[in-house]
Amino acid sequence: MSKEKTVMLLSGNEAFARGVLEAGVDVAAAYPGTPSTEIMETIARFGKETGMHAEWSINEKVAFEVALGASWSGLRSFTAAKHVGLNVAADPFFTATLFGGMKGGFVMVIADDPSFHSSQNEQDTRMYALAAHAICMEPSTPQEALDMIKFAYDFSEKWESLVVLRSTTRLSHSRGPVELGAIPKKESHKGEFIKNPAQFVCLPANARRTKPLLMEKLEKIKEYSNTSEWNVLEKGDKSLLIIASGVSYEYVKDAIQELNLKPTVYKIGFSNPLPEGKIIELLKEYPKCLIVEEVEPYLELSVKALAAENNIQVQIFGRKEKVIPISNELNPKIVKQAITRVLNLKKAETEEGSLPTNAEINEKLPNRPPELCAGCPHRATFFAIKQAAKKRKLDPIMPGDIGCYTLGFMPPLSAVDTTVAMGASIGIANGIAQATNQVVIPVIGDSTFFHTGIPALINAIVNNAKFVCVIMDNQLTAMTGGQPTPELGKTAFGEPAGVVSLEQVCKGLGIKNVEVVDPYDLEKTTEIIGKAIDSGELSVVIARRECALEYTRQVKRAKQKLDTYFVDEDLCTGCRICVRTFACPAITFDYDKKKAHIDESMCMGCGVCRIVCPYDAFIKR
Amino acid sequence: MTKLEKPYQIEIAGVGGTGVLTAAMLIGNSALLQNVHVVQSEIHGMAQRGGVVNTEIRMGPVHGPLIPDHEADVLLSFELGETARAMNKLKPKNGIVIMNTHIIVPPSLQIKKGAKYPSLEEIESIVKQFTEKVYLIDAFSLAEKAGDLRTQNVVLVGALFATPDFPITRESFEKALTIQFRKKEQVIKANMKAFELGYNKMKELMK
Repeated sequence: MSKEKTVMLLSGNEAFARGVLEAGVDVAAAYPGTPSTEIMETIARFGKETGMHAEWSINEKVAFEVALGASWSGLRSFTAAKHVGLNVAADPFFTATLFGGMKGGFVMVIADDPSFHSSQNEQDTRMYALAAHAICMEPSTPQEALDMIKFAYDFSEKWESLVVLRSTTRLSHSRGPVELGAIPKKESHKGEFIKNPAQFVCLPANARRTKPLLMEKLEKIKEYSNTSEWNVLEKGDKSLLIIASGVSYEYVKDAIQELNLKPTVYKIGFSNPLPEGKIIELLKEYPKCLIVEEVEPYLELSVKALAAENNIQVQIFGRKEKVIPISNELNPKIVKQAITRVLNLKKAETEEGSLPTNAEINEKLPNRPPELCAGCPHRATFFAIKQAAKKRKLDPIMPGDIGCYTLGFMPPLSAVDTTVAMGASIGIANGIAQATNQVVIPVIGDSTFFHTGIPALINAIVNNAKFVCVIMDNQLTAMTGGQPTPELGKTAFGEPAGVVSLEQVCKGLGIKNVEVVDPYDLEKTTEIIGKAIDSGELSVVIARRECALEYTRQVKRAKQKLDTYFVDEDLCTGCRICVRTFACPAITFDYDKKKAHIDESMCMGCGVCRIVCPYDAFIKR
Repeated sequence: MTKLEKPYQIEIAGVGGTGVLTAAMLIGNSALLQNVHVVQSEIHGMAQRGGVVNTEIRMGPVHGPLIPDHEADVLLSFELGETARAMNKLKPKNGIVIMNTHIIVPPSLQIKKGAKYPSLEEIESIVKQFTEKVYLIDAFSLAEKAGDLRTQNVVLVGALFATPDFPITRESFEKALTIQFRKKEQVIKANMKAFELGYNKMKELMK
């Protein structure tokens, strides 16, 4: 009799986390970023009892270095990030892959975001792996996410190399049945760093010696790749060879099932180094080859090069042939169309043609863009900045940053003029302040300021750049679900930790004008920001008020009531200033009555609307 | 072990904060409790702040997490207008639409003077071009009756379970609910009630 299996419906991210726990990882470090956040969140929730160390690091570079240091001390270590997070960690990443020496397994999950669901770009981590000569694998289901992580730790230790697992949004944020294994009990989570300067000091002389060794190692791993259990050949008929990886492979399976076809499918799970020998062998056997992958033509370029180098007569279809679209994520329909085209099949008759299209329907519906929440202190801060500027007849340039407050971009606030990268608001403010005579007000969140904002502020001091930096301090990393910031003094496990104060950091740097305001006190906030603008000096205004969502959660948890507001219809003149300039989602306008209305199920009682309204029509319940 | 001969697919359309993800978890776990193969996708992050949130649940012989266009057996909509936006996921003619009559007006609509939210009739006229099987549920009132406005999602899940040929049993749902809200007796009670109200309402509408 076999033992009863435990199967759970896990997201890809939860499965990665479970894999980390089942692999007996000792040290895990990450900075949150959609779509990777839940990996570390899950480790933080369940890792404590294993005795491991888990942390929310200050940024992805530090997280990577924490894991590298632990791996070099002989411990199993882990880091996770979103695709653009790897940009921040790219410096140590390139050198760590060159020098290797992973005494304890080191695995990194990077979650790419095809279709820009919550990201500023669509980059492909496999290209990074190729450029850095890193081992890269691509799971396609939550079950594989778990299984691959466990394999990757053994593999990392065998070759003393970092292993990168590439995820995408549709794996990280999809659920499927996952069979769980056991979490090992470990006596100790302490290692020892054994000095070996030739391995760990990346002087040019050491690097020169190391590079050929790395290339040799990769040649051997390429041999492994040809027979890897993660590169799976599903033999079908001789009409077509489909090569696919990640979740794209699942779309291929859906598409051929629906088309009732049986082409040969080669699933790539071990994607760097590629199984070149096996690919060459296969290309010789088929007249046509279709490559299905997301974001960049990573497989496509290599497969085409292999066909050309080996004089193989095979028609290869991918992005260049416009069979697969150049941008955005794939889906079963796109893959179905690609197969139909490549095989010159007749399109099935459908009745879909007579139905309205998405575009036609959307024309009749109001847009529903993401919004700052009801009661969000960021809305009040943006409003105050706008008011202070208006009083001075100024149109300040407002470089924005990455977080909930990027949504200040939306009308009617329209208060974000640039957004580029984490911490870039202050860097760009430096540039605009030097290049123009315009008033510059960079806006950055507390977590983002600690992440990469501080160096740019120091830069302003030492280069005499003048601007008013507004730090929107809501006391947590809100956009990704409320992870702790350095001001909170809490570890990932919720244990007490050291505290770093924003105002002490700014004053310690030598900035004289540092003020802390409460954005719910709209008048005072407007006044202080105005004074900072008038001073013409480099100033910092910290707008401090807890995230409204977090506050609401706490009140509900304590079973207390929120002090909601309502509209006194005798006082409301129907001027619409509230909906036109402030746009809190809890306030709507009733055109039949010509009065504003508050949805009290959404109102959390910030009371800022009371100050926005010139007629005092908003009343506390 | 329940083996499905063909895929059964549910598209859930809603707005961030309306309990779309919780509803999807409950349906997915109910399926898993019956050993039905299930995969589902969800969108987190930026879109959750009052934006459009869609979740797709696929049961039976399926692979990837996305429902191909025009393949969903049921569209379960948590907000009136969002029903129309998701129509292209539904099987034309035979697909079932269960839609909440509750509306959530996006603040961006208020900025333009006089801009109005589409009426129930306008939304219905779009939806009925795809299918005749359209069922309107006032989940807001039923959730109020259940004693917790946050149970609107489970009212609609109840209606889903009342559809003909739905492959998952009520017993599995009740088990999934108890597991999901362990120890929170009040929450379980309100949700059980909400499920019951939605289930009965749907049975009544289908008569």
